[in-house]
Amino acid sequence: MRAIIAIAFIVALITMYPYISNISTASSLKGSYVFKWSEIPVEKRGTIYKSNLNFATKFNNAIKILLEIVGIFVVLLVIVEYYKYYKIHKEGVK
Amino acid sequence: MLKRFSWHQRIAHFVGTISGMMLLITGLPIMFSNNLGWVFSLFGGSSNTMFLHRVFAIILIFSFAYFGTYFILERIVRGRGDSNIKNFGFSAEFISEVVAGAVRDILWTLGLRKERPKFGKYDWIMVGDIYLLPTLAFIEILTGTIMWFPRSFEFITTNPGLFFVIRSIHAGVAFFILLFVLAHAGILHLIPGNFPINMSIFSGKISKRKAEIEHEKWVPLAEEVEGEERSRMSKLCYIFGAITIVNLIALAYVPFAMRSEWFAGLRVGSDGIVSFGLGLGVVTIIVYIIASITAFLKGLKN
Repeated sequence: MRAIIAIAFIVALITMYPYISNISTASSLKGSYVFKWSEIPVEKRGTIYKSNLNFATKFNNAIKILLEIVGIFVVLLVIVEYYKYYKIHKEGVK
Repeated sequence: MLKRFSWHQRIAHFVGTISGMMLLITGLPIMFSNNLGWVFSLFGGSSNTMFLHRVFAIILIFSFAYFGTYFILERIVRGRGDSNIKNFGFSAEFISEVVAGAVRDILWTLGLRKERPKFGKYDWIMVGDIYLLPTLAFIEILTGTIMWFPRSFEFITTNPGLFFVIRSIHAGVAFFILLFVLAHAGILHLIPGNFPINMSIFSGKISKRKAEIEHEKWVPLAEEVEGEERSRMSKLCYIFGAITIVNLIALAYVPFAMRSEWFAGLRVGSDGIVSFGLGLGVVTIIVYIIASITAFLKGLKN
């Protein structure tokens, strides 16, 4: 068991190292940290911008629909499960 | 009393939930700045809040890597023990067993089946929790990493607009996790028999009587341990259950109020129901954090 703990601990330390060493990054949207549109060659910029924008809009709409479905599903699930435990503890289960 | 959870499972739950809930509190105000702006003030400004977000992200990443590796290696070395999850949950037999259990359980709840199905250590909803939450956490870690180190990912450097798609996924999944946390607490903690808190994940123990009702197939495999059984039947659970359901209904309305604002992602304006749902959700999570710490410390004493 000690060997498993040691391996898991080493894996965790290695995994979190890049994050700890960059924790002071103020914001990934500031300064030279994020790639800028101005760094894209001017002749390609318009096409890439348009295709990225179309993709982002489609993705936003897809996420919105997914969240609408998930929201309704979660409400129904909680009502059913809550009623189940009410039933279990009121009637008893055989 | 029966031994239900190991030390590692209890600590994994505690560290994962505290870091995950803190990430929700510090991250959701970015997506819902019109409705949760007060959270930034609570932490002394947006810079502090974002710094805290990264600190708790590192804690989550550590616990994900540590406990993920530990549980996989433990399962390989020791086998599945008293767990009913076969072949890491990836066998067709196990999946069909879980689906059949879910259908039969719901049918019994709705009065369409006479006998309630018997479950092993983890019933279908717990199996769902065990697989869904790490999957969602992995998506958040992956998309968070891309946003933290955008220059390390070539598809972002050649398509800067995709950065905002990654941000939308990160925010969308975070909203789903908020629903998940409230539903999880509603189903496993605030229900009759467990209210106000299901101590088994904190103390590692469950009463034999309760286990016989909820996990009948597991009881013969479980290890008996010492401990005092406390009966928990309070009618207050119905009030808190109702509050949780009202909160979830308000939150389920939020996606319907969202609109796509191109690269800015999904945005919501100043809407009373949205602000109520999100505000109550965040306050509830703060209460859950306090309750989790208290229960964990109490569990240590036992």
